Amino acid sequence: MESIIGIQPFSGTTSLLKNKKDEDSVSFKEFLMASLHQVNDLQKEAEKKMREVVLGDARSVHEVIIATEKAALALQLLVQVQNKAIDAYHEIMRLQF
Amino acid sequence: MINKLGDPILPELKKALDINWVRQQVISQNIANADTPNYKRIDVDFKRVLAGKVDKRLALERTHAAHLEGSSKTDGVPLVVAKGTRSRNDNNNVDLEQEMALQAETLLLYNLLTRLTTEHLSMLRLAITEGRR
Amino acid sequence: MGLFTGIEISSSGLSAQRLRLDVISSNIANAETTRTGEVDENGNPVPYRRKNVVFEFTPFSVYLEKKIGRLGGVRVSRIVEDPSEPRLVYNPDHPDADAEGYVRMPNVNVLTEMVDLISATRSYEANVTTLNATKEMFLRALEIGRS
Repeated sequence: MESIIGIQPFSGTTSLLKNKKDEDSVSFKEFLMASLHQVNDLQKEAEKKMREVVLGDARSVHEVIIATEKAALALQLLVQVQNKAIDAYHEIMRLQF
Repeated sequence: MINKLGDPILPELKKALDINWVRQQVISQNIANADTPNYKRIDVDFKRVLAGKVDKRLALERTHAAHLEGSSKTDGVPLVVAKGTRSRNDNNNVDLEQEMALQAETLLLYNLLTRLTTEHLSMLRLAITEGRR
Repeated sequence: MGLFTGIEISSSGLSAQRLRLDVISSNIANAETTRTGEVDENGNPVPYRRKNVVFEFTPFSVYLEKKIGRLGGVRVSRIVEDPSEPRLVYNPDHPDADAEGYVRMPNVNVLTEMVDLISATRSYEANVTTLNATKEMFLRALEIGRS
């Protein structure tokens, strides 16, 4: 998906802006890619904790649960963001006429 | 941004959970060894924990702090051997009543923290799923 | 430190105190036992000797941390006999009285044993409470995030 003109940058993504000093808005594609990577990292962290439980290396219950909850929530957030973006796109497409 | 989900409170809650979890194990050890000759009680080194909080960076990372004599770290939580307290004839300084009180306190704190964590995650979940048509 | 370290520690405490209770029970039960089947150099029967437990800190071998935070439980390393001499009680009618009419009674002071018994029971219960608390924390943590 190419940059969507006119959509305001999401707050909190200023770190991505460092790479795009000549534009005010962040490419949504880049934002989505970065988020995907982060969600993937959280998933991997959760998997690591689960593996520790299986191998008997887990140190505490709460750290495993928090890692899995956080990964699940992050994925949910990403899916919601994506859905909203797609909705917005459809909204705009309807405005063409 | 997404990997900072729950910041800044979630990592702090987790750290507090870590501390209380480790404390419970350590208190268990003190109680199990309440009658062991020459045993000295161990506890979480709150001085170092609080010192870590002054610099937020340190508090949330595993640090390679200089090892004080008699202290060590378990899962990022510094422990210390309490040498100063008075000992009995068998050179054991565990006060069973005190350990039981500490243990009750730890349990309550841990329960409170798990509850707070759940509440916080619920709020996040609500915010995320809210607006679903 | 693993998921169940706390439980293992408390469990070792329970075992150790239980053994201590058994030894104290043995002392009390045998407070009047004048014969053990042995005979001393003068041909007098050897009475029951008071026994005592020796506790020892036992570090668990933990996979992760190399030697930091040595967590561990407790165990009874030895059961020792109290070396003090048997009490001589004048009782010439007793079947085990010696030539002078003295009976060698066990070096057990029942009052001391009772105090010890109470202490051991208290310690045992403390370990029970602790184990239950640890278990509760474990179960609570499982509920994190569940509404």
